[in-house]
Amino acid sequence: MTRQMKILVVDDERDIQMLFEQRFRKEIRAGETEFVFAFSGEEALEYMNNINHEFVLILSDINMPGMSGLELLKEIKTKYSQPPPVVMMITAYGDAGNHKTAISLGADDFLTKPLDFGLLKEKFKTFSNG
Amino acid sequence: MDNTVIRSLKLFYRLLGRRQFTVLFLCQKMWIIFLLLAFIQPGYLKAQRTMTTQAGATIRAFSAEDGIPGANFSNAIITEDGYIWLSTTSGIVRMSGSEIEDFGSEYGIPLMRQLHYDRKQNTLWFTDAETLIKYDHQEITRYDATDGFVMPGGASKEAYAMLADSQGRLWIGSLTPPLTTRYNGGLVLFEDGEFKTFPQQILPLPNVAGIYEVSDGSIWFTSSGQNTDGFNNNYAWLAQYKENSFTIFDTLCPCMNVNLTFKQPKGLTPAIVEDKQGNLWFHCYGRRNTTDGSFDKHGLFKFSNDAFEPVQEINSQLVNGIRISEQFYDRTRNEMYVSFTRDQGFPLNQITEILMVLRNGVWQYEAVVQPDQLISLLENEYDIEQLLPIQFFVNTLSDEKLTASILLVDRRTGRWFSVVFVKEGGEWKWMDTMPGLLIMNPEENTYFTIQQEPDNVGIYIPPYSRLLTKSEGLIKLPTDGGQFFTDADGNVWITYGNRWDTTSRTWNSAGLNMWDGERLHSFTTEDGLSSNAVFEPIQSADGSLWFPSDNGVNRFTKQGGSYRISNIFTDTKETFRVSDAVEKANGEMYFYQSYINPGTAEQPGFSSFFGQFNGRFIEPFTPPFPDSLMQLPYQAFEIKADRKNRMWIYARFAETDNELASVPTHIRILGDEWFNPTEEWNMPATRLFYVGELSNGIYYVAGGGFYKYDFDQKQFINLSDSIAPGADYRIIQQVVTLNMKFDIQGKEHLYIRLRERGLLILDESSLTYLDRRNGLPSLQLLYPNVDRNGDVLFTVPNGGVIFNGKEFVYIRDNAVKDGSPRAIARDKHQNMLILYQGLGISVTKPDTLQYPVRLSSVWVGEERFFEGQTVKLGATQNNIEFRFATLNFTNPENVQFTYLLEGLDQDWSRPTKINFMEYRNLPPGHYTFRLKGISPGNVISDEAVFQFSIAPPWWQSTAAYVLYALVLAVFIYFGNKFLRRRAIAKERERAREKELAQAREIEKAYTELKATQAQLIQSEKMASLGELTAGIAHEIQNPLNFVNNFSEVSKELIGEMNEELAVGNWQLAKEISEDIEQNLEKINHHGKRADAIVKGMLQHSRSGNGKKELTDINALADEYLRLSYHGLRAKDKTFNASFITDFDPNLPKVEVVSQDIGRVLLNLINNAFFAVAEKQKTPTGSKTPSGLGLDQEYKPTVIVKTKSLGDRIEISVKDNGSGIPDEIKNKIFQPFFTTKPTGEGTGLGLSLSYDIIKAHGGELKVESKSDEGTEFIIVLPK
Repeated sequence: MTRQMKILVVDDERDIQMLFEQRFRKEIRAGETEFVFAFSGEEALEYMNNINHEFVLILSDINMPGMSGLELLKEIKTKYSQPPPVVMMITAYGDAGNHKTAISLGADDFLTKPLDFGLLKEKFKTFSNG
Repeated sequence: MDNTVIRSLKLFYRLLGRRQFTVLFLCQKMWIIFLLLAFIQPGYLKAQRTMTTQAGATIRAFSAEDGIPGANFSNAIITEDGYIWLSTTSGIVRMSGSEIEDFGSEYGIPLMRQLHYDRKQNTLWFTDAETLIKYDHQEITRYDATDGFVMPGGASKEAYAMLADSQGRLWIGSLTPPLTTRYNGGLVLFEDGEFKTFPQQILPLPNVAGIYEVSDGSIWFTSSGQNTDGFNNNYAWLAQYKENSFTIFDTLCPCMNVNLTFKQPKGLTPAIVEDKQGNLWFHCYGRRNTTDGSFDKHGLFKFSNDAFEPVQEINSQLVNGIRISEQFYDRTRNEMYVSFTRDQGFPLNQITEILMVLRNGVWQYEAVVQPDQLISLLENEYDIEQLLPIQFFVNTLSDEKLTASILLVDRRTGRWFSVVFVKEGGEWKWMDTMPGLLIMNPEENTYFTIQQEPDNVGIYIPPYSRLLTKSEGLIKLPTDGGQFFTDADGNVWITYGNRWDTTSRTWNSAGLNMWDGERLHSFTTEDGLSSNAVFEPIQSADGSLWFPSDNGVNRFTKQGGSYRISNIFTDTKETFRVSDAVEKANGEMYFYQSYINPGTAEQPGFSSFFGQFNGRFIEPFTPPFPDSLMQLPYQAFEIKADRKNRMWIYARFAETDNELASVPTHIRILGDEWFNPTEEWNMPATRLFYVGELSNGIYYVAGGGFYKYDFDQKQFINLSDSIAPGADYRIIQQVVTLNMKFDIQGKEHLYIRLRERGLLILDESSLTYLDRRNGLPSLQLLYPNVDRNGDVLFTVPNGGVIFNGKEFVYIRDNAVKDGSPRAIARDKHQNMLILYQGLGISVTKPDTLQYPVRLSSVWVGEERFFEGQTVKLGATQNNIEFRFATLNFTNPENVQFTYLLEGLDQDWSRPTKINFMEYRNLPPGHYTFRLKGISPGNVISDEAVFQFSIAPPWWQSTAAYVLYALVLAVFIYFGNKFLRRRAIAKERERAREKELAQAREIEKAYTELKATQAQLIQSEKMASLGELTAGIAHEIQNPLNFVNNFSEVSKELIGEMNEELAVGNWQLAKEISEDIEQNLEKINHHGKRADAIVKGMLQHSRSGNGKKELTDINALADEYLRLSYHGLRAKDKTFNASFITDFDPNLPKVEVVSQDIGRVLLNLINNAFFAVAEKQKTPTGSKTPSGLGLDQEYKPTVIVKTKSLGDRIEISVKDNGSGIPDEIKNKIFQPFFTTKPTGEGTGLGLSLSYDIIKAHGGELKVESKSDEGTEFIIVLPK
């Protein structure tokens, strides 16, 4: 049996919410996955602090105004160690520099925009079963 | 518009206001310094191998691994400036403490094997047989065949000898190995800039292997011959050049000189030696019989009165394979040393028979060491059976001292080592045993000696720390502490702390020691002491030393070279214990016991005793303290004499030992008679710690603060709250709680140690505070002592610190790794002595030498200059690099440099270990670069100086100004003439015509200027567009992603909808179709978004003809904010900032040229982001200290705000960057003014923005606060 996955998506583009909800409508409908959306790093941290969600996975854009995805990643990895959330980073600038920084900060995976949703679904499966 | 226009405009502006540009230059310089700091570590000479000799000296050995090219050193020289030059088969290097520099290769000089130093001219000569190089410390001159430099010899010829004689001539001798042909070398003379090669008809020597100048002005040449069966003896081995002609000695002396592989710096092993009487002594190597190994034509020959005479006393020794190895002439004592050698070495017991000396006209053996002594020196470390002495080397250490090293080989390992002896006052003493061959003191006034092994060269650093223990004569190991007292002769008297042994019921006392600077002397009851428990002495004005003891007083008076000890008791010969002595200003001597206690069952107590010496015995007395106090069991006394011939007794009395530490101090004073302090004295009723006495009073630290007993006011004054000029005494408040002894005084300075904080030095008018920032090596300043110069010494972990009131010297002690110091002193040789608990006493020679520093090179582009040169540089040669070297070879890594470029720098740089400095874009002018070194012992070196000037560009040169003046003069002259000629009738008409022409000119110029301006505006626009491209790409990419994603998902949804329709699930199908509709809206939305961006970009780049139209300023501002943000993000990945928009929703649309206003907004927003990014990069920006001492993180933020105000609207762009400095605030709207690095900004943005807003009838204002940020406000009419 698959347990329900709570995923926090962090991106400053608000339309990302609609896109995710449509792309994963089956999974949402089946109750396998639950998405929570934050539109800035600060907002994401607020979720982490205030809402008693147990996020299995956090999917964050890097390139955001204010707190960047990398800073968010650092915060999460240093503050929330129990249980360690899986953090995947997304960015439009999928270069080696950001990739390296993200990995060194403890990112569990790295995706580039435009998102390949097929691949993303695969990855979700890996993380939820693994 | 091309760059040339901008550059010439910049030049024009530079002439108008140079200061703007200096800011830019400084920025560039800082940047470069920073870069260098980040990437380059200071380089110091690091020897791969460092070894310690038997005497504790250090040898730092350098080989190929350290950058010395190859082995086989043929020469080592120390030039006047302190560099070591080494020549090896693979080239020549110059060594300083900082680097080993391959000197030749930087100039394309081939391998220079031969090196000669002309000390008189301070000139170095190098040659490789094809090229000759002259380096006179100012420049390098190169000669080769085209200049006439041709050395005789075969293809593989070598320059074998060089000599610059007193006439200014340079002689170069050559030979060609192997020596199979007859004339395989010859001689070259360089005189008055001309080369002369001597043919064999004139100089029939087979080759020239040695060149010597003697006092009659003649030059001698020796040569070397081949020694095979084909050997022919028909040509000469020796020649003399005198009065422009050669004399060949072809019959008497077949001298063959063979150079050693290592030619010693002072020419120790010459084939010819001249003595004081003008006799020449020839050492002839001779011929070797290849079958039996015997030699002929070998020996020592004396040349006097134009005749050779064999030295029979020496030559008769040359049997059984024994030959002469060395001759050395000791000019100071007029003695000639000759050392013998033999292939198979000598037995150790023949060590006294391999060195002979000619002394007072008699040849005799020189016994440097007896065989049994030598064996005892070596048997602990070597297998004696395996050791073979090879020969002696004799050399000078100074005019007074000679050294003799025995070179031995260890047959087991095949290694060489030397046992070195030094002759002082006619006696040879062992100095050291070490690997290799020691070449002593190549030149005086150097700080090291050169040491050589076959494969490396080393620097011998004499030992400077050693530990004295019982075997050196310590009377007991200092297990209970001890004291040093330095007397007027500089002898250090060592008294030891004693402990009561409860079993034997005795003190473990042993007597005292005295260190005379060379060795320890001891004194016990056997030498006449009244007791072995003696305490720290004082020295009275008559020179006597007075040692209190537990059995009376011992007085030491000097008698000749020794001391007479008298025991002093009372007239009834009663014994008493006294611990301290004091001398009143009038010379009266007093003794007392400072600590009184009742004792215990295990240990006897100390009873009170005060006595005065009356010239014969000690008369006891009782100080006038009340009986009630004197009856208390625990008492403590301290007696100090003042300068007014008074004696102050500070006393404390208590019921228990614990109380004694804190009870108030009572004072009684003995002037002409006893008196007590009165009420008016305001004496603090606490315990007083005596600090010292200055001319205006006596100073104390007490419970209530820092006090002075003022001699004039006759009362105690609390200084702790007062601030005298130059002295804020409040700092001493910090120490009042410390329950420790402070009293230390040197000359007119008082020293107060602040626990874990540093040191205060107080004189009458000022207070100096020293801590780690002033270079104090430690804050644990313990065991103070004053030496006879009035200098104050403290122990610190690993050494001592010496203060003379103004500055201090730190001396490291290497003798003890971990020890607890208990006392410190300085002896007559300025050696530092430290007594270590339980270990012994270390003696350290302070490294207070002034090591020179040098500018090892000065680089301007590819061009190299030397220290001391004065150089004129062209206008474009304005980047200059200085490299520094220290001539400290002992511990170069601890030398710091400080420098000053006069003409630019205001002050000396902070001391640094980085050994170079580069200056860029120096403006024209005269400069002097000065460099100083700070040695580990805090000694500052003399300056190394380099002077240079940078010429102004040609149009600012004197010649140019002369030309301008000439042109002007010519112009005035002809103009004047012209005017006069034409000034008469048609003057007015013509003038009018001229005016018309001028008007046309002006119009034309105006049109051109307009065109230029339009071009400039366009170029600025394109520049800002360039900055935007990446932002635009990102901005387009995002909507495109959405278009793609939403259309893909819609396609999926349609499939799903069809499925639902097929099964007739209309409701669900409808829901899906609604989703699809929503998606299509999104696709449309994002498509429009991309479209708007592209349009905006096109609009931005379109030039001119913008029409005013109603524009939504909020949308415009939002668009450019995002463009700017993403543009910067794309350019610099590390950049991040928050931006906040605060748009007035009621802002009406206004009539503006939207692309122009957009450009202004873009410019302001870009600047704002740039400002916050800059602040974030600076270390103070990333962490802003707050008042609470907590670090607050810096949050780079840009706020864009719009507001509707009556008949105007206001747009504000605000950042929290560093702000604009006041001095440039009024310049920012000037064209070409920028604070960005060159190439990053055109300097036109703000100026154009200003113009655009003006053109709109608006206003552009700036408000800026240093460190808080900047706000630009655009005001536009509605």
